Amino acid sequence: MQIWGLLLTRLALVILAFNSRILSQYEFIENFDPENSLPESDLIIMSTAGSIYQKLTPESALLLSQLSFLTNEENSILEQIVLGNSIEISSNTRLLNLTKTLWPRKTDLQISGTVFHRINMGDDVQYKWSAEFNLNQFNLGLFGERDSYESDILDYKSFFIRTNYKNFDYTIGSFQMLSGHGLVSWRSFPVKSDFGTTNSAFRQGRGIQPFRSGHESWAYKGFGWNQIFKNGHFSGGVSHRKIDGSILGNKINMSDLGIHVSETQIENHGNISETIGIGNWESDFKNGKMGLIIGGGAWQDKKDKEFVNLVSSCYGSYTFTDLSIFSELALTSQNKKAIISGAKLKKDSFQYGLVIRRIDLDYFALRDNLFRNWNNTDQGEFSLFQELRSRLGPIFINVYSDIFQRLKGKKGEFVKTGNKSGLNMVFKPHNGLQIHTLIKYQNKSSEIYGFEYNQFMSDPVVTYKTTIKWAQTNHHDIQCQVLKKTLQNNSLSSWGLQLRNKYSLGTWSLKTFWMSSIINNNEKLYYWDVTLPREMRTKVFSKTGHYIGAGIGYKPSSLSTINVRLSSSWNEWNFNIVPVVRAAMQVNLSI
Amino acid sequence: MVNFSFLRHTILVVLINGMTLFPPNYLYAAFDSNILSPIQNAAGAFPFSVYGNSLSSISDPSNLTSTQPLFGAGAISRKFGLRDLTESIIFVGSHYKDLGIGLGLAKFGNETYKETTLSISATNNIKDLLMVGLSFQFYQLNILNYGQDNSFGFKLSARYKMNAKLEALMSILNAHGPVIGQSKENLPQVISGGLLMKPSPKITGQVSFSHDTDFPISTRFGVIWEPVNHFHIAIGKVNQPNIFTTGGMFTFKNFRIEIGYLSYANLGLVTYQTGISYTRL
Repeated sequence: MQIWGLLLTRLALVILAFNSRILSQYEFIENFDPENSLPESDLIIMSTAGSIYQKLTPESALLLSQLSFLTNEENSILEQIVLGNSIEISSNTRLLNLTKTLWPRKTDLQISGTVFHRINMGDDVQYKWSAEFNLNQFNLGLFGERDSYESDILDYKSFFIRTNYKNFDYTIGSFQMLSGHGLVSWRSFPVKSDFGTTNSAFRQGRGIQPFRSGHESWAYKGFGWNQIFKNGHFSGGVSHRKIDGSILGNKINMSDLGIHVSETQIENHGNISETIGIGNWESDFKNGKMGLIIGGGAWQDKKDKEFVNLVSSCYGSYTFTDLSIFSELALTSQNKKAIISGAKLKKDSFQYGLVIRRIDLDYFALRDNLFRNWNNTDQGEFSLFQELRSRLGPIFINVYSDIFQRLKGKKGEFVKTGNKSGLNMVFKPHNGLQIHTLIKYQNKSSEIYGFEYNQFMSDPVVTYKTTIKWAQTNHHDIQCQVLKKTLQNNSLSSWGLQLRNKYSLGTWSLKTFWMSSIINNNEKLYYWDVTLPREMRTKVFSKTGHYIGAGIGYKPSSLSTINVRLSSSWNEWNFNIVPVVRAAMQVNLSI
Repeated sequence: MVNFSFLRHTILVVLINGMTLFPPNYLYAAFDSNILSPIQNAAGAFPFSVYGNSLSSISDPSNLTSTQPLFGAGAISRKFGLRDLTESIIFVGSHYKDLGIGLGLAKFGNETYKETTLSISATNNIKDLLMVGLSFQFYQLNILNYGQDNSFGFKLSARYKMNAKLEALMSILNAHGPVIGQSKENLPQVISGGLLMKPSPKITGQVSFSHDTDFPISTRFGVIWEPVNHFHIAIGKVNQPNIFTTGGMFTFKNFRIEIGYLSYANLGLVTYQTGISYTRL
């Protein structure tokens, strides 16, 4: 029986591999690196915009302007649309692609709300609900989540109500404060070294925004507002809530997991009581902006351990013809400081940018999440990032380099250094066909502890990736990707191949995925996984094996969709292993 | 000659009553019995109400409408055929202004151990697409010689008409985490969802799940078919626990008589359920 099962599986894979019509899809969000995925709030914003609105309007532009990955230029275009100015977006390819992805067909439906319910089946079941409604001048959002094995249906829940009144924009409930360049308060996701990072690092925060993500401890909960004055604008927020985590000396260690299953996790649930107040003043002047941020927080855990932190920051940006510069400097009452500065030169299709940052060891503000290399905040860092972007005819080239160094802590401590660089080329020989090649080099020194002395090591890793995307017809997209990851000075590499396919058949759509990888030297390979709409999942191969996945979408009416995904992975090359099967279903409804 | 049937029933009664009366520290599984009508049980223990079946409104009020005429319904069952595990439900419904409203009472157990659930339901229709039902539940647990305790819960149900033949359904029960008794026993928190299909006027199909968060998810499917006028046949399957279900419904003017049969494959036990309702739809 098992032999027959294996034969059938192998036969299915062979047919899948050699059938030229069975490959894959590509979507807007998949242009991002699977090793640096987008924040969940971005996916929810795109889902809501795609469901509630039918085209780019001032209302939808306002919602889209909250996306984390937009550049300053893209934001400026959206701002113009918010103000009601007629502006052509075709000059900005990415914004044009975004609108085409969100609104592929023109409709005149009057939709006042959208809801999605996702059921994610793995070892147990995870449930997610998200809803957003436009009720006259009010914008209401709801979010609920139950992770696998949690007892409470709504283990995490949040809501926000947002409204405008005269020059005020109020948010009650869960909100986030995006100020300056992230040294004091930012999103739950930081900017990371990658292609296009200069544009992300240049982007300044836009004050109070509703919080839509499932990150359980990141949101402020209380009252926030944006207010326009004659000489500038002010954003302020007051928050009081309980967060998961612990107080460690002169900082808060916030838990990112949000899972409450084990006794320790349940005990740690809402361990810290937090009160935060924050204000941000920003003034525009000719060709530039200046801002000041002042905030403070008080934390107390269940054992009455207390911590207070005050923080101030000033930032600014200036543009002179083709050159733009920005900087932010922040100081805390724990005598910690951080600074980030950057410059960008842009002329026609050529762009060069650099970003320098220096972050003290144990730097902690309120919700700081600035552009940094190491996630571990114990390690301060000093870094220089450079990027070059250019277009040569049909070829788009992007090169970046980031050199970073850990700041010295105790006397005699090992100075950790590293660098990353990458080359990305996109070639579009004709409409519908796109060839995308990238090479990434990463080198971080690490310390191995010995009896007599510590040994310093450095193993550079090089990643090669080539992706061919082909829109064969209006209803059929194909994608093929080859991946190779090599540990320098080692003859064995990790190899991977992915074939994807997407068919659109009226009210039905079908996506199929096949990936196979050979893993050597523990060099993991990352791919975009089969996803439900507005979901981002990566499939990580840490062992040699195969993966097959399918996504089926059905649109019973113009206001509703049902999507299902199924996948099976084998962590053995010869299939002689019980596959890991995963499934999920999502129902999107609009009213 | 030993009467094995009697012996088996006696052992089961002793075991069940022993668990409820002499728990080591606290109660287990209070109010875990699903309150479903016979036809819902027959069609694969479908956790949502079916149109034309007023008795199912107690489990999910989202089939009540703002023009709902007064109706009454009742059902009785003996789980595994045991008198001590008798469950009875009664439900009346009508409308008030733009709301469909209902009042239900469910009882489970015997004189020694008794669970009573009183539910008050209201349903609103939004844009002829979405039916949202909210049901407040009053729970009372009564154990002879030990006393009684009360608790409150709520159930939120939603029914969305995707098109003329397909509905999506979702409900959550006790999301606020209510407890009952001195030992603060958690009342069940249940997430349910499903699709209700009507490919032809005579056939209704369902695919659904019900997930009590303290137990593995239970997936269900079933079909109700009306081969001749007034007679409905239902068949279904529940996974976790493994139950084969079947039954039927007979309608005569405004009266409906329902029968449900559940065969527990792993236990080798069966449950019969009968119900009657007077509905004007």
